[in-house]
Amino acid sequence: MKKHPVWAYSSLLVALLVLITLALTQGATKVTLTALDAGQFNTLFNIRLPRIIAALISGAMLAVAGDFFQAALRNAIADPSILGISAGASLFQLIGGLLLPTLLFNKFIFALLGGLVAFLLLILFQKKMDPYRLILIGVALNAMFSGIQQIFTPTTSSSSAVSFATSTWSTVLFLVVLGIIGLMLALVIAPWANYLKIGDAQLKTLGLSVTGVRWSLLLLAVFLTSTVTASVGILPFIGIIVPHVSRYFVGHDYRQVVPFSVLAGAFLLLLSDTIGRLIVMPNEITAATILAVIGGPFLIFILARQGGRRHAS
Amino acid sequence: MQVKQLTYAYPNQNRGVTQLTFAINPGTMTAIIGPNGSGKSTLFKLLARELQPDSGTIELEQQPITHFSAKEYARKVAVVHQHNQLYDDISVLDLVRFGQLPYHSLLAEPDDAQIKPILDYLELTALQQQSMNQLSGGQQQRVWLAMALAQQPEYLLLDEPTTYLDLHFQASFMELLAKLNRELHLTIVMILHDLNQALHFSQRVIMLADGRIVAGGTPETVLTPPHLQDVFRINTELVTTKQGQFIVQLPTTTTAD
Repeated sequence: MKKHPVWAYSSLLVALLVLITLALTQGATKVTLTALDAGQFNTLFNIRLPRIIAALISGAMLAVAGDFFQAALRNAIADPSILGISAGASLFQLIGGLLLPTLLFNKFIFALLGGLVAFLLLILFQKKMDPYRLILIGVALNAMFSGIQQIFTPTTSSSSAVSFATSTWSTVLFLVVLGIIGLMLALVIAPWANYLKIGDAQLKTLGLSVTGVRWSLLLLAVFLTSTVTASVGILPFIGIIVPHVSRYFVGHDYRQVVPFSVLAGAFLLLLSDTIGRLIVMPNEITAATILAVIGGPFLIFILARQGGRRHAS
Repeated sequence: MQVKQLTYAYPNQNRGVTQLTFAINPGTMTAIIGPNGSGKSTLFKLLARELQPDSGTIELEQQPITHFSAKEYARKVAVVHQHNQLYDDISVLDLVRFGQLPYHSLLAEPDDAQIKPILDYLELTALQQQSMNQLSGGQQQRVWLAMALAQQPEYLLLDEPTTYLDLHFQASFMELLAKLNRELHLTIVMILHDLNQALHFSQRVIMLADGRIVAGGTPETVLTPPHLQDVFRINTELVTTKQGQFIVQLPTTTTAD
């Protein structure tokens, strides 16, 4: 299929702008952007805007993490939430909060540590990275980390804990700073993901450090995932839905896939959050729940369609 | 390129190569032949630095190849594997650009001015925007060869390059290699399965059996019916036609006399 990246980018940008406008103006309090009173300004600036920014950047980060996991592991269904990376980050963040509550940035540091531990366990148990065994081990790690977390916090289910409703400028600040750094870096090294399309033996004969390239992509993906988990919580399936959709629209070149994923990930998460906020007003359904409802069938669709093929979309 | 006393044994296996010594003269085409398990692929991996020898050396420009960095070696020796793995879709042009990796940092932009003559030479220009998945086996093999040429190597190592190709593409691919050798003075070392390809497209043949060299020299002196009987356990006859000599395998019940 001939891809038309310019049309895809343009359409997505327009859709994103419409969605942002909708998310800003719609809700329990209707806001008209051209005629703001003090109350509306407060709702807009201190409640909706940080929430929207948190959703946009988190979605972008998780989508790019999905791109890199899939490229580096050569596995079309590798997703940080399925692989247990998000659950590891979440558990360690909780433990960090209990052990060293006064440590500055403890949430981020422990979440990153947790993401790394989960990832290293994954690699340790499945050195050859067989696609399906890797996913099964990820599922097991996910269940294990989530189970341990439930022991610490028996009254809170992991999905209901995830909400952008509590996002404020102070909670969003670190996410934005770390997210922008991570995404900028991702855009710079996006071409490296292309190299891993050919076998390791061939790459080595080109003088390339395959290990260096693979680990750079994976560590950045762990960083992006852990940062979102520390700030917002576990958001499932973005890292699998968005890379597939991106490849469908802009082709398989990661120099196109990664920037498109930034926009598409931002769109998907803000859409999920906005739908969850609007459909049962004044109550809310969390973005994680909406994503699970969309993502589950999407994953089944991919598996049924591919029958084991990698990266097709 | 000098191979001296090269020995490698796979851990816990009775396979490998033993005490191989030979020279690859610059500008020549050398065929390495032998039955399955004779050590051809092991020798290929040692030449490509995918394996480290237990003892002995491979020297390039009077230096052991271990003295070259990965990038330095990639600028001198390019490798085309028998089975080229592709895990995701990629365009012809992007794949050929990978051949420039030995010359650039990972963040550098590709230099297509270097690539275009190679695409032209291998008649791939019209296909450059196509996806690899859309190409025939013969076209794909030419793209992998183009990637190897983009490394601007002095030596080209090929592991059974025509195994997965149709007969028509096998002939044209071998003729292309001969042209590269003739016009660009590339030194070509190829593992071949097809004895007639070795007979027609090499100046030197190295015959392996059980990890050792059993014969080495010109195709006419190595690819003789007695040698082939000893090493491959096949009855053969050299048949002379207008197009030259060909090795014909005879039924096992028939003698070659």
